Amino acid sequence: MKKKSSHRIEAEVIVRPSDRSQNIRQPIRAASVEQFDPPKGAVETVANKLRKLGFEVMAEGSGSISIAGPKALFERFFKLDSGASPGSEALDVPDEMKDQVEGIYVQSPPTYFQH
Amino acid sequence: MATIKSKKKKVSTKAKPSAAKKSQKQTVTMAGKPSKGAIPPPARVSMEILLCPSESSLSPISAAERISFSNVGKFRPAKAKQDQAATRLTELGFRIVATSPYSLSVEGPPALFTKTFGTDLEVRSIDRVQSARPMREKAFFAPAEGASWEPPAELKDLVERAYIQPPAIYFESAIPPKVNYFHLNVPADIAMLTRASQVHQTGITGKGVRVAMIDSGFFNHKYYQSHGFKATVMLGPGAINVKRDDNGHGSAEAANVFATAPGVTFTMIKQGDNSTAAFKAAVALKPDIITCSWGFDLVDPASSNRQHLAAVPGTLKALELEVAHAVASGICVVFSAGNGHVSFPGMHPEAISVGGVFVDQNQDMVASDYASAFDSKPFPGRHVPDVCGLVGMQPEAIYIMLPLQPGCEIDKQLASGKPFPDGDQTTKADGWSAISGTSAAAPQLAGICALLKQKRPSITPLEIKQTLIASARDCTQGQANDASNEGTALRATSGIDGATGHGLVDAAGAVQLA
Repeated sequence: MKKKSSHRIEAEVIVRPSDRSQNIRQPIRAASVEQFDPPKGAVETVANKLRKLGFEVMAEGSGSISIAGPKALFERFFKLDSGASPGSEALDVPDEMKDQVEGIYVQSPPTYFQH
Repeated sequence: MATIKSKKKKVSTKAKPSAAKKSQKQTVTMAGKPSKGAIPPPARVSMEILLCPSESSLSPISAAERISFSNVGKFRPAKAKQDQAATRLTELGFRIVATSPYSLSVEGPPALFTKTFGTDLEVRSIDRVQSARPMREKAFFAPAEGASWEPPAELKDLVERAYIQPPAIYFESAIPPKVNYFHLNVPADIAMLTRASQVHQTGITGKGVRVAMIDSGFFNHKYYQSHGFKATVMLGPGAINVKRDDNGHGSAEAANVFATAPGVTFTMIKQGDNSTAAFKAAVALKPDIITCSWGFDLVDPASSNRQHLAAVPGTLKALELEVAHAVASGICVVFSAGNGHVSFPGMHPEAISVGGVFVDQNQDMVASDYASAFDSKPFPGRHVPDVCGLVGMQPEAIYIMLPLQPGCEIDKQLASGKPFPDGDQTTKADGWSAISGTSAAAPQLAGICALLKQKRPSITPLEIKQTLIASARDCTQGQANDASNEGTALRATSGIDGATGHGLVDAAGAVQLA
C-alpha cells in the first residue's frame, strides 16, 4: 500500500441528517439508514465550501465527504493538533459549518486480513 | 569497437574488445532511456569478470565446445591467474564481492570502470517483469553505443571480458511453485472444496454479474492471463499507479473470486489511505457485489485482553453509513471476519461476515484457529461470522498458493527460508505466496454470491445471506482465534456455533436453494 505522507491528511466529513433528532452515534442499519440522510443538495453544498477553503474533495457519498489536504490546512481550519497522531479523535468543526457538518474524522489505512 | 543495440528477447550488457566481430555483438531488450518514474541507477556498477584462459583451459567466449556439466572443468582458468586479477582489480579500486573458479564478481563506481577500461557508460532502464503489467522500471549503467574496450596493460593478460550486470528480470510463472506440504491451489481446489465447480458444470459461472473488490491493487500476473481471467483496475481516491500492486494483497485475493466465479465481470478498486473514499468509489460503479478483505480492529488498545469497543468510533461512522446505504441500494456487501481482529465492517449486521474453516487432505473440516469469531458489542445480537470460506491454521495460515506481483511485500514476507508452517517455501520474487486468512474467505464467498445472482438476478442482499446460511455445511470441530474474543476462543459444535457461525459455504447447495 502507498506510504502515508506525514504532510497530507485524509478525513471524512459527516453531513448532518435532515432529521436533527437522529444520533449518528447509534448503530446504522440498512433498513433505517435513510433517517441519517442529509437534506437534498447538502453534501454538494458542503463539498463546495470545503473546496473553496482549499481542500481536495476526493469522493462524495450519501452522507459523507472524503477530503484531503496539507496538514497545515487541517491545523488552520479544524484545529488539528500538530503534535497529535491523526486517526482516532474528531476534529473541531468550525462555527460556520456547524449547522451542516456533524463531525470530521481523520482516516487511517485499514488492516489487510491475510496473515 | 563494440556496440550495444536494442533488440527483442535477450538481455545482456557487456563491454567487448574492439576487435570483436559483428556476429558476437550482444543485444539488449526492453532497455532504453529511463522515464521519469524509473528507479535511479545504483551508485556502483556490478560486473562479472571472465578471466583469460590458461594454456590448458578453454575460453568460454571463443571455444567451439558448448559448456556443459561434463566439460565445465575445461573452462577453469589457473588459480594463480584468478588471484593475480583479483589483486590488480583491488589495487585499481574495485571491490571483489564474490569469487568462483570461473569468474570474479566485482563492484566499482561507474567513473572507475570508464577510467580503467576506456568504456563510456550511459544510463538505460529496463522493465523488470516481462509480462503485460511491468514493475517499476529500473535504471542501470551500460556501455554507450559504440563504446570502446581498452583494458590497462596490467589486466590485458588476465581479464578476457568484463560484463556489466543489468538488473534481474522477474519471470513469474503461471504455474505455482512446488512445495512439500499440504496446501490448496487456485482455481481447482477452491472451486472443488466450496462446491462451486459443481455449479460451474451447470453453466453458472457468475457471467454478467459485476463484482467490485476494494484492495491494494491488481497485478496482471501470468496466472490470470493464462486462465483468461480479466480484471478492470481503477484507482480509488488517493491511490497511485494503476499497474502496480506493491503490497500484493489484492492481486492474490482476487484469485479467490475467479476460483468460485470464473465468469464474473471483475473490477479492482485500488485503495489509498482512506478506505471509506474507496468504498464510495466502488458504490458509484453500481456493482452487484462489493468484497473487502480488510477492516479495522475495534479493541481498546489500553486493555490487556483486547477488550472490545462498545461503539463504532467516529472515524468509522462515515464508512458505517456508506455500507448501510450500499446494502439498502441492493448491493451485496461481503467483508472478512478478521484474523483475531474484532473487525469492522466485518461485524456490520448487513454485511456478509466471512470466517474460516480449514479442510485437510482427508476433507475433514475444522474451525480455523486463525479466523475471528465474536459477538459484536456495537451491534447487539450480531454474531461474527455468518458463514465461512477456506482459511488455514496458525501460526501463519499458509494454505492457498496465490499469485501476486513478483518481489512485492507479501512475496518477500513468507519466503523467509523458514520451513512450513513458519515459511511458505516459495522464493522472494517468484510471484507466488501461500497465504489465506479471512482475506481469502471473503472473495471466495463473493464469487458464490455472484453465482446466486446469475441464477436469480432479482435476489436481494438479505436473500443471498439467508441462502448461504441455510445451505452451509456444519463444522463441528476446532475453535476460532481467541484474540478476537477477549482471550476466550469460541468453539465449533454441532449446529450453529460461535467459531464458524453456520459453517462452511456450499455453493452447490446455495444455488439449488436460490
